[in-house]
Order: sequence, then C-alpha cells, then structure tokens
Amino acid sequence: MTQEVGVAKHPLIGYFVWAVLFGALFAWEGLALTYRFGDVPTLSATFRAIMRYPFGRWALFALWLWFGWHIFVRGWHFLLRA
Amino acid sequence: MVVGYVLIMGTLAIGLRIVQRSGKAGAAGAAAITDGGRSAGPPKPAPVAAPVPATAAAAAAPAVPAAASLTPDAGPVTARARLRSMVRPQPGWRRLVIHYLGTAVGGYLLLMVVIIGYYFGIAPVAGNFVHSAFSGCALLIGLSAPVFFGLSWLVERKGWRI
Repeated sequence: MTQEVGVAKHPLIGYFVWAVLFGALFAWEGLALTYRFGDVPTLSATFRAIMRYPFGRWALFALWLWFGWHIFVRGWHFLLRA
Repeated sequence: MVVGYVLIMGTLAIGLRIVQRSGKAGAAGAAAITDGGRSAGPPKPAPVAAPVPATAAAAAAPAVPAAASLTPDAGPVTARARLRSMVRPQPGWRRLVIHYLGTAVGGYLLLMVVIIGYYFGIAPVAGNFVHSAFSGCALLIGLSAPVFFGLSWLVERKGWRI
C-alpha cells in the first residue's frame, strides 16, 4: 500500500517570502553577470574570495553538508518508503 | 555529549589559532614584498598632490629594521617552516588529500558546533536531530569523498573534462 508523505500546511506568505529571497539572489547574480553595475562580484567570485581562507572553506563546506544532510539524509527512507 | 562538545571546541580553538598565526605570517610577508618595491595590489594612479621634498619624505618614512630586509631563505630553517612544509607540501596528491581533509574536518566540526549550539541554545528540534546530524553528515562525507577523489584522478590522469 502506497502512502504519500504528508506535507504540512503553511501560510502562502511564507512560501512567497522564500520565492522573493531566491528570486533576489538570482536577480543579483544576473545583474552582476551583465557587468553594467561596475564592480559587483558574481556569486562565483564571492565564493572564490571566501575560499581563499581556511575558515571560509570550512563555512562553505558546512553549508554544503547542512544542505545535503537536509536534502538527502533527513527524512530519507529505504526505497523511498514513507 | 559534553565530552564531544569539549573535543569539538578544543579542536576548533586549535584550528583558529593556527589560522590566526598563518594569517599574521602572510600579512608580514605581504608587507615585506610591498616594502621591497613591488606592489601587492592593482596599480593605482599617481597622487596629484604637490611633490614632497626628499628630506621630508625620508623623515616621514618608517625606519625599517635591518632584520626585515633579510629574505626568508637567508635564515635558518625553523620548526615552523618544517611544520608548514609538512602541512602544505608541493602540489600533488598529498597536498590535495591534506587540503581535503582540512576542509572536510573543519567544516564538519563547524557544522556540529552550530547544530549543538542551535539545539541547546535556541530550539530543541524534535526527534534525533543531533544524532542524525553527526551520523548523516559523516555519511555524506564518506559517500562523496570516493567520488571526489575518483573524479579528480580521472580528470588529472585520464584527461577527463567534466
């Protein structure tokens, strides 16, 4: 018997705020790539600047771990059993 | 749990101390290079202020100790230099492994510190949150490390282009 994973109901405004935040992130990256705003660094340039230092690499690796842990490990069940 | 917390904090403290020392050494090296007449940054336009007499410029210039003019190669090999050569060897697989281990262990410990601080200081998340963080993130590192080194080997030795 298959059973869908339950998804909690949240107010729409919460999703909207996340959408605006991610939209702003990609909009800023797009503006930086156009070179029309002077010396606005792209996301890649920002990461390169951060990764020059060990603590920055640790922080980025921790961020990557945190993201992967939430996406691939937490709530994961064998053969996608709910 | 307390023992683990103390271990993590101790390791982080040692790591931060090493980073701080290497940062100071790097800043001193950059200053020495700049004093040697080479610019460390992008070229800047010449100032448009009035020319300063040579005597005034000489008086305003900081006195450089005689020891600062020595190159690092001229001095004896110190224990710190030997330690640095072990931690940061020539480019190659050994350096890649050391770099990877430093980044992975540092990032893992940093995330565990943040998660423990969040769990005990801000919000105790339901379920086996902390245990899952320790084991799940270690699992992710264990799964991704062979892939990373395998791809690195393919790119370096087999000419793969990803």
